[in-house]
Amino acid sequence: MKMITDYKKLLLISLIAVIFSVSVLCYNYSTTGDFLDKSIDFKGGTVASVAVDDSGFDLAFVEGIATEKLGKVVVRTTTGDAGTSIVFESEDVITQESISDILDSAAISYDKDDISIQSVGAALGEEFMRQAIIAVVFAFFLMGLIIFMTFKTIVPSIAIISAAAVDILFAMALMVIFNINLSLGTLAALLLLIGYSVDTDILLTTRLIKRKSEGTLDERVSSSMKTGITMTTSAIAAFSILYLVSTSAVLDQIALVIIFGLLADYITTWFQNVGLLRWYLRDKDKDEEEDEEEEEKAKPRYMRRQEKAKNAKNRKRTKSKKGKRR
Amino acid sequence: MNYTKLAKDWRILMLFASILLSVIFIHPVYVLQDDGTAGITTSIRKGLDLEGGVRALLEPEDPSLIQKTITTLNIRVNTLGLTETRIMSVGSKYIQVEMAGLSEKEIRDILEQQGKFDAKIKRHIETKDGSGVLEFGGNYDVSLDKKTIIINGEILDINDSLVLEGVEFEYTNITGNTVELTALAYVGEDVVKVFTDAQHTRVEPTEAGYRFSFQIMVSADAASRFAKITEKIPVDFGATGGYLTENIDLYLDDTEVDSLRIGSGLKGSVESTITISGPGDTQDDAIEKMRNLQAILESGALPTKLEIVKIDMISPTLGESFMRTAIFAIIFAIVVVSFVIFIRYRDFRIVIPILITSLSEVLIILGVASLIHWTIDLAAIAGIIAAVGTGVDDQIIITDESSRKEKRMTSLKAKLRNAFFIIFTAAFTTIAAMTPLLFIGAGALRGFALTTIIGVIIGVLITRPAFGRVIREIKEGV
Repeated sequence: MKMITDYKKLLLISLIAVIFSVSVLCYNYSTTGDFLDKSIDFKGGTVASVAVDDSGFDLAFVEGIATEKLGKVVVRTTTGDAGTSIVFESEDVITQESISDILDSAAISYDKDDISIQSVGAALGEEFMRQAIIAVVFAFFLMGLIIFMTFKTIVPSIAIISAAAVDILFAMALMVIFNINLSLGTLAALLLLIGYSVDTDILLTTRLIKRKSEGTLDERVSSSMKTGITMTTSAIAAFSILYLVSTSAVLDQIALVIIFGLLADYITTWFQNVGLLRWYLRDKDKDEEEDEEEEEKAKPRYMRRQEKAKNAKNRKRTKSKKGKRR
Repeated sequence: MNYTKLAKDWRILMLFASILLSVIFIHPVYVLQDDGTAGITTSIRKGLDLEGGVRALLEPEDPSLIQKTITTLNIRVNTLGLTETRIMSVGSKYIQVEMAGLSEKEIRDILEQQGKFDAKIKRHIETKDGSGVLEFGGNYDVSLDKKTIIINGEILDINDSLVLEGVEFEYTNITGNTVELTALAYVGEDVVKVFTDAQHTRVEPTEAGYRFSFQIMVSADAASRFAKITEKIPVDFGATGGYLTENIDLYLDDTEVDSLRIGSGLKGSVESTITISGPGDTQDDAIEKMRNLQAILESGALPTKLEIVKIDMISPTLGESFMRTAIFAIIFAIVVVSFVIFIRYRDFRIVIPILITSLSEVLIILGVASLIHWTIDLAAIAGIIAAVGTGVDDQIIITDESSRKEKRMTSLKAKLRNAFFIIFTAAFTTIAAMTPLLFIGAGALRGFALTTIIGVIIGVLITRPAFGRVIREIKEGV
């Protein structure tokens, strides 16, 4: 596969991804008032789910009874490991008793011990939301600090930090599209993405900036890609298994969000980060080439002739060596 | 490959030691369960998500009283015989209670009930032409002017109270010419002992359902108070025996829960042991009400009001299914990842160490969890998978860095040092990203953050260096 070496093209592709993510999020904001739909963890309310014994019931009928007893409530069904479950969502508290009440009135049989309820007070949800924002800001700040202290140069550090940011933006955009709301679990997944994203970017940056002697820029980029793509693909494989195997909605959502972010990582590391580094190094390489040319000109002629002859000999030797190895 | 040289390397030894210690801490035991099936139990504490139960987050009205409230709750929970309960403070603002095997309603009853207990006896005073007599102690004249009364020189409107001879009286009602004063006989603090044994408790069927009764011991002060209040109450001799004309009313959190007749034999007597009773619809209902009341009297009132702000109720069957799939997911994920690695490297000598390293990371994380008595819940399992994910990434980095051809003569050791530079930096970043989660969300994500951080630290200090050593042996031994 031919590698794109023009940094402008690379950055353009990654820019498309960024614009896509931001537009999806802004669209959601304009239609719902939130960038991401919040789960009860952040907006308060109750979600109750009951495993029912058979799926032959009229959902609208159940919803009618539920609305009568609980007021504004959303009723839906899910199927999972435990069979069919009815899920009730409300902004207020739903108690176990009211669930039993509703199901008894609708003459649906269920397992009394198999009711799951999650309830969060509205004030608490708001506080969690505030804490979540602080957590993300704090995590990014710490991450930025560590990256700066490691690489001590501006452009590469910003490249790594922005790659992590775009990964998270892209994951958030896909969350909107696939109807995954922001819960404490998915928040944790988004923060975890910082760690995974940075893994591949640090690999790339270290190889390109600190190991200049290991081959041309293109060679270093392609060898980093080999390593990095293996890393991201195996992580995606691991979390895909988690998603497919788990029966818990929480784990499913965490797995999906991380997969979304890792998919974005393919673009942010190998297009965005590479693009930025190519641009940054191109200027530096130009300076180095000029320095080298100046050095060459300053050397006396007899030295240059000697070096030319030595290089020609070396090339012959490596050529024949290559022949023997094959 | 020189296996003996490998085995003597300190990194490999540390890995083996950690694995061994972890197995010891996890303490897997092959047991025969009650239903005849064989199973393995470990000392790993399973969280609520995996066992089923209720987790409630409570916000006390007065946060400075959190410790005292927790003590009271613990007494309450112990009196109820609930052994699988964990109560702890979260931050400085909340209390978290985890209970297995109770319904949500039962939890609310136990936790939200402040438990202010009062026993009151009413006195009714007939007034004629605006004056009457309260027959209590030294007897007191009561003058009535419209709705205001004057007693013992004090002017009282409705709901005012005064203290006569150590007993608090509240002016509670007036109907026509009858003034109602309510005397406070007992309060929660007067209860010295609550009897819960079979000799002192009883649940009997009645015509309208069931009735529970149990005995309590009150302080000497309270006993003499009761004597004083009842001394001059007239007796009503009816078909079922002699009872005082006034009942003793029991209040819980200012709501009347029962009204008991006072036997004539108790009139004016200093009784320290009294019987508390109440109704129940069914036998179970009666027993439950009795236990709750016993727990509340034993623990006393909560120092401050509690509000349940977050409640999670997980059914046990759901929890069990999570557990099974979680274990399966971890193992299967490691297998699939090894497959991906194999496609890339096509060398079993690399795939097998990666497999072993990842599995040992999971094992050691669980070992550490057992050691610090950390509960493993769904979030923690996600954290384990996340840590293993970074582990695989790091091992790929190590493998690739060590096989890079270079123009400069760098030793394999140096290449590995390079690899670990990348790994350490990435590890610090992951730990930094996870650290805020330890403090937010009222601890809901602490399990996730902690297992990820522990996993990354174990990886960077123990398992991945060992893997690096193995890779070095593979490359150099060729």
